[in-house]
Amino acid sequence: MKLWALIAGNPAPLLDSFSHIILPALALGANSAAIISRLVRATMLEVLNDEFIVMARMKGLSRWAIVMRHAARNALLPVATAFALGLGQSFGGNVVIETVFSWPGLGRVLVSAVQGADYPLAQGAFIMIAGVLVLMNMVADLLYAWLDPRVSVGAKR
Amino acid sequence: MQSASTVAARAAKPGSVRRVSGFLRSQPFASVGIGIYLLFALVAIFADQIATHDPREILFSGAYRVARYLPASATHFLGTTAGGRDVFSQLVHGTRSALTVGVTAAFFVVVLGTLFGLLSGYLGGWVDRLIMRIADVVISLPFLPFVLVISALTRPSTTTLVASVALLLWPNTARVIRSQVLSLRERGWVEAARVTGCSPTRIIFVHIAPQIAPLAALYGSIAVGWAILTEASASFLGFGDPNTISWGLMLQDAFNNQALSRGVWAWFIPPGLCIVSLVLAGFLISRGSEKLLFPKLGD
Repeated sequence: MKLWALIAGNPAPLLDSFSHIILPALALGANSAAIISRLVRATMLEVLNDEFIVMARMKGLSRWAIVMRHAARNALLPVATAFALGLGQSFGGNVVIETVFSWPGLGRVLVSAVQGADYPLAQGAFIMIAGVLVLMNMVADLLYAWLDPRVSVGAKR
Repeated sequence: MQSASTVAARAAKPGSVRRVSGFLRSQPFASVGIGIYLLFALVAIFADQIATHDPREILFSGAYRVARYLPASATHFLGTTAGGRDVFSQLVHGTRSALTVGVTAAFFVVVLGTLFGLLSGYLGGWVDRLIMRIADVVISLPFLPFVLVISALTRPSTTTLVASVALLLWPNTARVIRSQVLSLRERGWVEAARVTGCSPTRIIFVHIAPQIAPLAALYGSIAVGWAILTEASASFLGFGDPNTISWGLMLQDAFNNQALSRGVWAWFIPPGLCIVSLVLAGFLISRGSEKLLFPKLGD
């Protein structure tokens, strides 16, 4: 609907829905943002002690170039994993935010189904939430192996 | 049991007071966290003395009118609710349920996590595989939805909340402790204990368990925050114990009565701030002990 309005030359409904998504998105993302920043800090500290950073410093590269091109690339690897995990968790874990912002999402379906003793619907919602969580966990693992060639999936130890 | 007594004996040694104060000075974050905990603990213990009214009492303001939405004043420090109840007294009594849920849930998380971590790491083999696969399954359960479903299927009460938090959070602790035990069991003194004929039970609980106690405490302080947040979320959504006054229940009451659009800020800002500061205290403590356990992360 909103996209059709855009095609028809009326961007107002789309922009309106953007303005309604800011607060819930901030509330939902703040948690993951904090976790990811702690994660990046920890991996950055680790990476900056690596030999190739010493090498880059010996080459006379600027501090900025070392941090952005050499260290950040490696430190951002776990972020991809954390992002996938956070996506999976926020799929079902935003029950409270959906209630506060009256957002008709899967979490609210689950709550209203449980409150109304509609167990088949509650089961469906729960399985859906759990399924996405498991799927995103798997995506996180695969993504990590794809981004970092040192990690391999299913290799014999 | 023996390990607990040895830990207690070590803590009672002379000079431990100085060590504690030295720790507090070197870890300002952790000491702020401990301070917040102590403050809330005092409020919870003396809740009956601090509260100005009965938190459940419906108050009247002359001519049999319910004293609803009163602004903050000298008699009602934070005003009254839509039902004519004193917000400040509810806030004070809510501390009790928050701390009860947080501490008991964290206790069970630590006990379960440590026990399974120790068994899994030390015994290895099929025990290890079984426990870790169960942990995998539990970790892949969505957290809050599971708690909601459990408290909906059973009678909503504090006990079921604590039980479901403990059942969901132990795998994180167990995994970390298992990996620590895997390295500890190869150390010389464990070998020595085995040679002198110690039973596996004695090695696990007397020789290895005290070594992983700080790690377990770290995960315990994180679990306190999670449990309080979960209790608040569940009560907010209407799955908490309706007979216990808790911050989540206060927020639910305020939300259902449109406190925000009525501008009754004193009703819902204080419980929110209380939840945030108590959870923050747990994370501050965990950060302090993290620095002690993993000095490499510090700056």
